[in-house]
Amino acid sequence: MNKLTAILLMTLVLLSSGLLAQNRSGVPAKPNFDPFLRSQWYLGFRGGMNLTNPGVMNSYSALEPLNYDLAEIAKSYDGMNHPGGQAALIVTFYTRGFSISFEPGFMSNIFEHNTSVTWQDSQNPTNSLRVDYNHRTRLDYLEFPLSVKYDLLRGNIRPFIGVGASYGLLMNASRKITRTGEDVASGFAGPFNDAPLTVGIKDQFIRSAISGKGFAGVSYDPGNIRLILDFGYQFGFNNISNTKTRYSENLLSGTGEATDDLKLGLFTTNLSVVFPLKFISKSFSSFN
Amino acid sequence: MKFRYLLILLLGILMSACDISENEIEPSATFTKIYDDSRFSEFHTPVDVIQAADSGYLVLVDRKIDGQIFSGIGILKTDDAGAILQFNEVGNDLVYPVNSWLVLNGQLHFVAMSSNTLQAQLVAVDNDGNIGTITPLNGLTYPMVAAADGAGFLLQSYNSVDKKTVISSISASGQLQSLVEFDIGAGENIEVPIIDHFTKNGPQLPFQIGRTGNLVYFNGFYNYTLSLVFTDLSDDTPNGVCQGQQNNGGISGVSALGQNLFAISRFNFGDNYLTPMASIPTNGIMSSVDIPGNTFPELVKDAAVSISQDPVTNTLIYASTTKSSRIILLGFDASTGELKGTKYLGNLNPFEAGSMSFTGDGGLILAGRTDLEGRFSRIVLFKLDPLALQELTQ
Repeated sequence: MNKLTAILLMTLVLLSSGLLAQNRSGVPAKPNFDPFLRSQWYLGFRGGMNLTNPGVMNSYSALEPLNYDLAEIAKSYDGMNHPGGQAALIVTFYTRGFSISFEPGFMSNIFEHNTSVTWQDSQNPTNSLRVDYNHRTRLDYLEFPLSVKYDLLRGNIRPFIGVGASYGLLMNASRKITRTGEDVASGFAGPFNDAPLTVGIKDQFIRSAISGKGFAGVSYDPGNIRLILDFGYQFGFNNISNTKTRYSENLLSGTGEATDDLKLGLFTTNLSVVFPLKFISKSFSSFN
Repeated sequence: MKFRYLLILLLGILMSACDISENEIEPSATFTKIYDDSRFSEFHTPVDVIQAADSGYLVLVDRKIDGQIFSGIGILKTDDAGAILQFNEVGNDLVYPVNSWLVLNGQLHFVAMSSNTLQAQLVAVDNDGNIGTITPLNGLTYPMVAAADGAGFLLQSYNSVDKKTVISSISASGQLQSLVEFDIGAGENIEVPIIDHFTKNGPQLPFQIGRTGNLVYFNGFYNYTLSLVFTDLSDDTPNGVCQGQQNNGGISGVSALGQNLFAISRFNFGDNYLTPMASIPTNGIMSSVDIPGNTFPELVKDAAVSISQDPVTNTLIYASTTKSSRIILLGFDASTGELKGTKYLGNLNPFEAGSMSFTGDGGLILAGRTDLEGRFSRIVLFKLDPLALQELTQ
């Protein structure tokens, strides 16, 4: 809660400073300097993709082994094979190389984990059954990011760096489970591959995901629009799994599945297009 | 003006984000645990579960053993969050653990059978699940079901020589205090269902025993039928009988509510009926089919039913198994018999209800059986917190 409060206070301060920059009676103007002429509002949109790097805080299982080590059936996570996507509206205030952006939008994150369990005939160990489960999880969030970036150069091509924070509101969560394995129970190999099962697992996650973000990129102004390409890493601050429903609302516990405590990390890339809202004329630029 | 809108948005986010600070729960409050064994040959069925003094759980386990006629015994000890502390595979000289843990003089016991002599044994167990003193219950064979009774316990057993159901009252130290035998009927085939019950070659019969007022009741074989019999243990003439239909119908679960009132479940040629408040005369003869009650067609044929009374909410909890292989819990008001709520447990694998007991935090622990990957019979524990239990009690 303290983290959350701190983030929101920071957000308020940032917003306030951004708005004060528009206030003619706020900061005294320097001689020969009109703040109105040195600022800009942009409106635009962005789209991109992300790769999820799930961070396991605590691992859980509904299976408790009586005669083998729990580590033998530990989950292995992978988020780098399945890109998610994001799209957002952009509202940006620019002044003196700094841009403050509010970018409400939609983001989907995809990651998977795998488990494997083996049973053997103690009289004849070659008779065995191995079952592998692949769980592909998709989380859809409504995102409310706020970010500050600084242009390192002035000109039509501008590299920049930035930081931000975001609140994510969970809209949907689903999981696709694929069961494969090898049945040698009768002494002969019998690989199997079941049809995937997809279930809704929104109850397994809480509504909120708060994250921070660092990013860098470059923007280009071909003329009255600005194209922006950025790369970043978004790191989760809170456990997104619902600890209260880990078992009680878990449709998958029969397979031994229990949702781990997770913080999501995301590698993101975006391509944005923004349009200036002031001074759209051929003879004037407010970018400098 | 814009600043006001932003504040409203941030306030909304702040309120929505409250679930982050509330996202904490004790691991012991609620869990589902399946206790797996990697061996093909192991088939586990829970007999009873109880919360130990250290808030962990002790599960009495029926273990199928290859090449043996009768089931072996295991004792599973977990911590309060269901993590395994010990699984004690009891030696093969003790077999067939009967239905229930017994708390006698503050120590846990259970009744089992000697694999050599078929004689009943009273077995003490410590809080960690280790076997203590084993006391032979002389003269009593084929123990079926036991229940704590005052300082001692009641035992229903079977005398295969004379073909009699034996009801005995036994002290906590294993001394026989009273014993009455009831004829099950004449003929070679009459004991077949009983022996099949012990060897698990046939249906598991709902043997029960308990006390209501001055009388002991037992659900067992008497006069050719599976009957609910009332006796004062003075002689072999019952005070009252609620007759079944041989072993095709009768009582499948019973819990005494006082006087002539019982929480009942009964079966009749595959059908199941639940009656949370049944009035059964303890000094007369009636047929179980005359007990009114609603049929529950979603239950498996001749379903095993476990009944417990929540003393806090005055609710009767029925646990059984559905035709879709899920565990069903039904909560009835113990005063009115009104159904308060229903809850289902278990998915993907077949699940089967076993016994349950209430926990120190006001929740419920239920031991069941599941077939992992549809083939390996394993124990499952469901721990419900008081909030989940409210679905059945409010």
